[in-house]
Amino acid sequence: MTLSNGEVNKTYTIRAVNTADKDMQDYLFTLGCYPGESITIIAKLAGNYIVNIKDARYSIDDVLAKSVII
Amino acid sequence: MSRQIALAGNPNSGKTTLFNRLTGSRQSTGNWPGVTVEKKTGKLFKDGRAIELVDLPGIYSLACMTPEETIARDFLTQNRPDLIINIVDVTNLERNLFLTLQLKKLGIPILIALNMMDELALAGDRVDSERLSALLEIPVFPVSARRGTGLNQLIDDLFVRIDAPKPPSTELTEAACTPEAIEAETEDLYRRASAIQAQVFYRQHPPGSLNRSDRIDRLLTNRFLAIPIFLVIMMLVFLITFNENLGGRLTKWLDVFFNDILAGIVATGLELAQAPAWLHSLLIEGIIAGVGGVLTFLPQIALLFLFLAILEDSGYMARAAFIMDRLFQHLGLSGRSFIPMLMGFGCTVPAIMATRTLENERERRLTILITPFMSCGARMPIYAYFTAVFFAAHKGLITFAMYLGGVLVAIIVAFVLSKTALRGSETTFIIELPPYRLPDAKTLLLHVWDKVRDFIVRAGTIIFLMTVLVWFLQSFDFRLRPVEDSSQSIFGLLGGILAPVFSPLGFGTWEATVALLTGLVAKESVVATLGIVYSEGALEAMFTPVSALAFMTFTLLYTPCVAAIGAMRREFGNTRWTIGALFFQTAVAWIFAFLVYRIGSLLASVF
Repeated sequence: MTLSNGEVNKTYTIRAVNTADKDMQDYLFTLGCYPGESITIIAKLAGNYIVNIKDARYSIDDVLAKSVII
Repeated sequence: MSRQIALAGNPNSGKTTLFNRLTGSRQSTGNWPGVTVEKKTGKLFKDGRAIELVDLPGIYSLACMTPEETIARDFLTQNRPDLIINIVDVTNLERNLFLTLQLKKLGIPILIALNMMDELALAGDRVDSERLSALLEIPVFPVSARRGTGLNQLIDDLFVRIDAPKPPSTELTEAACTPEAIEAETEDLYRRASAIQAQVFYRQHPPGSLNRSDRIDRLLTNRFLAIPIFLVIMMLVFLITFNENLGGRLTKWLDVFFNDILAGIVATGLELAQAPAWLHSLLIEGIIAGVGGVLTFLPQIALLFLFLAILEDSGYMARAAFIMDRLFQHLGLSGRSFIPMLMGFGCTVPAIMATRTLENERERRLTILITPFMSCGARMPIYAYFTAVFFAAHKGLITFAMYLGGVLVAIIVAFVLSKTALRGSETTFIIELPPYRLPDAKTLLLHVWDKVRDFIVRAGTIIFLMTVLVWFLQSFDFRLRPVEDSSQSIFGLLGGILAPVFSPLGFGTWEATVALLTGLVAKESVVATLGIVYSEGALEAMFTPVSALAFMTFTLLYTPCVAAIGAMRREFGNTRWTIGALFFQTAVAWIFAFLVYRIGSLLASVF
């Protein structure tokens, strides 16, 4: 499933990152968002998400959330 | 030979705060990623020696997506400073170390300022900085740039290390910075960063567990409450700023000071000195009416800047971007565009520069185009000038309507353009959410003082010169003879030629026309000019409430001042786009002012 189906307050392991845009994939990589890493959904708001990767919080939109396979 | 040190590190890791500490400068800082979009230089002094320090925009890695990140990367790989101070945010060690490992490969001497030690202590976590130093083979200095602790050791070490001969530059610089090469290394570097973190970092709480910021976010980014809270915060900012009894009262006091007390004293002095009439006219109707008219609004402008600074320093700015993202997606923008727009309420110039943090070119152009519609501080005196005469009972409301109108026009324009000329693929949105921090009173006050001083300096230089020039142009004709009737003056004749353009908007007079022209130099000039060309009480005769509203709408939306045009030119990187944008904005202003005048006149005739 993708991160957009995930539940709030749960930690998942990233299995793949499939963004349409190659640069975005590299960017997520440099933030530590790559297969094998943990990701926690902190909050959801109208199709936007707050997630925790390593020790940082990010806000991402639906499009990105759908591209993260967990 | 002069030596150069670069400050490099992740966004929002405190580079500029440390830079300000070390150099005594006052570059603006804020608690959100992407405050610094340009490299800034300053000097660090010790024992009569000076080293040049360069503050760079934040980067997550040496692979870059946005223009401001490219500035940092290019400086490090091409200018090759003598030493890098790598600021590492200790509360997010692993991701920061990932960049450290990349920087280390550049072959430039490096040392680490391990920042935010105070927050680490607060969270109850611990770090073994000596072990970290041994594992990385890089000197590590635990500091808190915000509190100013640990800096002396860092400075001492800098001056020792800077004298060491520079090692030969390694060949890998250029090749290693291509995205392909970095991608191949990313995983390996992260594995090493992770291994190092595991050996030096002792956590109190497991990663991903809820901390203080998360508990605040529970409320502020709550699914149901986020938007109401956001609106309430914005309303409060404007209510306090424009309320008659708060920001408004301060302004009234200053008005009394300039127009009654100061003008009275100067008038008496001139009479006693038997000064000629022209000097009386220049000083009282020119300079005091013009410059004073602008300075009067200083308290309200300071208040607005204070609130913007609080939003920036508390960490709410990035949340606002998150909250607005949904709406902005419909406009072909992402929530990130909201930050420049919000900054536009202060000054358009830094707001336009802030668009550098947008990675999508189309999105950036669209944001540059609509940011000037956000009503900047310099436009506030114009509203105050008109509302005082025509809407005395509803000053705050009308001013607020102007701000809201600017936002609505920006939204309409973005919506239309994103469906037509600037159509493009769906944008993706990602922004780091910094921890909430209590804004530091001293930083806030310095920040506001810098803006206020800037405003005063402008009033004393540009606006002052403009008022003298305006006074001259409206007092003399082309043969440099003083005129009785200022419509026969140089300004009157020139303004008269252009005035018909504004007749459909209800203010086709030469006075209004020249005021708008001087507004191109600085928006405050509009008020300064009107203060000079209209004698006491003339404003009521020249405008109706409806045409005043149309005039205010036009000044809200038309071409921003020259400084903002310069910023647009730089960020577009293209003169054709800039000229196009200027005509576009003026056309938008004309159309909306026309609508306001026509619809307003219609309503006025009905009621």
